Amino acid sequence: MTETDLLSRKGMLVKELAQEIRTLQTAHRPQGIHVSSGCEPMDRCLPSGGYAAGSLLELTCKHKPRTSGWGGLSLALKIAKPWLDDGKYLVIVDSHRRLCAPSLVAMKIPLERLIVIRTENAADWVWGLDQALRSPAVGALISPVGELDDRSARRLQLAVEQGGGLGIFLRDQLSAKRNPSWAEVQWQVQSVSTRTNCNPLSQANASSVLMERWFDLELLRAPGFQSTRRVRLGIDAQGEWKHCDERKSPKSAEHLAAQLALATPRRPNVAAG
Amino acid sequence: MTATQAKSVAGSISQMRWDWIEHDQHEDLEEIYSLAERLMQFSPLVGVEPIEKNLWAGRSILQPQAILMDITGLENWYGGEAAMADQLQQWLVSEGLFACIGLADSVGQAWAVSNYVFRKQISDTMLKIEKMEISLKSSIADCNRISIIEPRESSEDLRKLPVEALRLDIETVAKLHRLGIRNIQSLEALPRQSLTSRFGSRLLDRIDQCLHARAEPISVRSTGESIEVCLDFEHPIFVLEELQEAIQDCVAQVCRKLESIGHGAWRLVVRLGLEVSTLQVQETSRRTIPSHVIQLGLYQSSDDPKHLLWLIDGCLERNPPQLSKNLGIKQVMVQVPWTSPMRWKQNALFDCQTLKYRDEAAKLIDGLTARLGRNQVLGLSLLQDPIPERQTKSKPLTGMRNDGSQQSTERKLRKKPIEDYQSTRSVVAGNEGAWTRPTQLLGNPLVIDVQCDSLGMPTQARLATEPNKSSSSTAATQWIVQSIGPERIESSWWSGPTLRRNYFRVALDSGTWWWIYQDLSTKQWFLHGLFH
Repeated sequence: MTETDLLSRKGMLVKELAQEIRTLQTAHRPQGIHVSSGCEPMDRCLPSGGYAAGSLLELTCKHKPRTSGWGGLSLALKIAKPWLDDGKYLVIVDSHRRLCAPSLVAMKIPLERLIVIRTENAADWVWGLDQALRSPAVGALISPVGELDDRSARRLQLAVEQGGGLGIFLRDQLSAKRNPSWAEVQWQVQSVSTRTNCNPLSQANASSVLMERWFDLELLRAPGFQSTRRVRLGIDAQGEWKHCDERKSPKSAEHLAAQLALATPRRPNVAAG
Repeated sequence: MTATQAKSVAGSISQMRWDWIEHDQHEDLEEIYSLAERLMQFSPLVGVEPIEKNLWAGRSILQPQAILMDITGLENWYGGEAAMADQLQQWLVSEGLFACIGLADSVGQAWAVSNYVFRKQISDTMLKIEKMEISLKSSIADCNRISIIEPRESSEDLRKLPVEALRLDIETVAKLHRLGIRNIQSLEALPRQSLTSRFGSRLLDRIDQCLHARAEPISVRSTGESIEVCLDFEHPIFVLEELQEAIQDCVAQVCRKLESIGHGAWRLVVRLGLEVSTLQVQETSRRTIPSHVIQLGLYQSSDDPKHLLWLIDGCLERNPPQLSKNLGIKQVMVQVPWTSPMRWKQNALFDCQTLKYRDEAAKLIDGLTARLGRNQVLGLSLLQDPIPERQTKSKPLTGMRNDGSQQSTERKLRKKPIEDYQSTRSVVAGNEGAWTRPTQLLGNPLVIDVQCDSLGMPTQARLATEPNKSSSSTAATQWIVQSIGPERIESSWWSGPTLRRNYFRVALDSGTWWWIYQDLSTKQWFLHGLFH
């Protein structure tokens, strides 16, 4: 047996063992159910073409901002939306009492199926999340996460497996590195500065200023994850996904209506004769 | 007190921070019924004042604001009427409430003295404050909040009160004022026949109820018909496990009763009667210890004993009774003051999605509420108000009253609101873009320093102080790479002090988006929202 064969056999064995561990870890999860995020480039990065039912997702902020306006909540709402389509509920943990209803409505979140939880201490927070994730009525849960010990993280993962929903945690990169995580998928998010927006029209057209927002997403963890994958995504004024594939050449993006609008002023009527 | 008066009082106290919070009549109603339930530890007959068709004089809202208690024969347990009123007052203070107590022979008399004796003292004090500049806090503390009208000397004291104390509607009071009749004494001097022809028989009824102690029924909140199970113990319980077993028995019996009538519990009250051990009683004087009360409001009616027990356990875990060697539980009572039929009413023919997971969601909401508290598990609604901080309305998901309630006051509150410019009804999704409003709104806007270009567009922003740090540390300047605005938002003239703001959406070089505004009255800039 050559050395190459030995290495390949070892590799196969490691893969098999990893698969077995994974099977054991996700034994209680509803098998084979994956929900698309609604965004094709994002789904392409995920091995199953969507987020698995009964799993945790982490959106991490690359740089810790002074005030959190990095867009994680907007992305989370957009990812959570398909999970509510069959009548399930959305739970948002909002301990700072900041949630703003008009933006949720604009993101097409049904307020009649929204449960907002406010917690005052870490024990209540873990307990509340555990109960919400465990409930089959909860399609998705969004919560900011700070310090989290290993036991609590595992507890939340088991809870979401039982409930069959999707838990979306928002945390900064430092906290994600320092603390244990049982999230199946982890994205690092960076809001793109508007001047480097990949849609050239948005800069040219004054009416679209700050009407759409772009994010650079880097996949840090996923099942079967081998290499870093990056994707640039946006959310437009209607709250729909946008991605760079949609970008057309500047010429083809010139709308006829815009050209007509810029036409020369109408000439005054000249009396005949 | 109107908002303007409150503002002037708050303004007189230096550096007092004040804010406008929209009045929620349902929250008030919920609180007063909750208080009535808790007050049943003093008397079994507790009710909320009935509200009639017209607004009563002296009241600014059509809503009950007084609780009526029948304490006939109970005063001896407390060592007399005065001692009972004192204990009641102490209990109310311990609950964080500021209340006026009136004890009299009839409802009319008690209402008049509780509402107007203290009010008169306050108005006199306010006059003194204006003239002599005495301290407001100490002056209010000096005012007596307990008024007891003895049977024989009742008339003289009552005659000095203003005519508003008779619970008359505003029109009648206005007519009397036009005639120069300000107090009950001058009203009584008029011939009764002429009063009937001018003001109707209602005025005479009110005079009789107040001056002649005409009996008036109290609409008791919880009657003997309500479902309740009570367990009395020969020896007090000192261990929590034994208490849980007793509650389990009571809940099982209650659920059997509910099942037999096909109803479910909307609201559940567990009273734990506390008793000091015999030795302790001999050492101290005879005194009553308030019961430990657990109140639960449910998202939807339930007759499932396991579910109800789980909720009670959650409450006990959060707020256990302080048992000790000397203090035990002598009685456990489980009451269901509010039930409704256990059947579903379909809202619409195809409205199945909302109902699909409703049972499971109800269990989750009930459980979260029992442990975290009613005000920590909320639903959001959108209101029609131009001011951003007033557009989001959060309300507890449990304990709201349903349509089948018997209280006349609630029927009035369920009237369709007037759809005028003051309406605060919920609105459906608007056509606003996803990025026109922030996802998070700061409760207290942060002061920022902003540099503007020649066109008045912001170019640089800097937080005046770094969040979560000492006030001395200043934040770094952030460059604004794009901005859009201004979007002028002004408050309506009828909704408090005028607010005029110019809002801008700005994108910073770090990639974060802020929602900032300039207050046009002070020209100061604030960070109000985050596009998180």
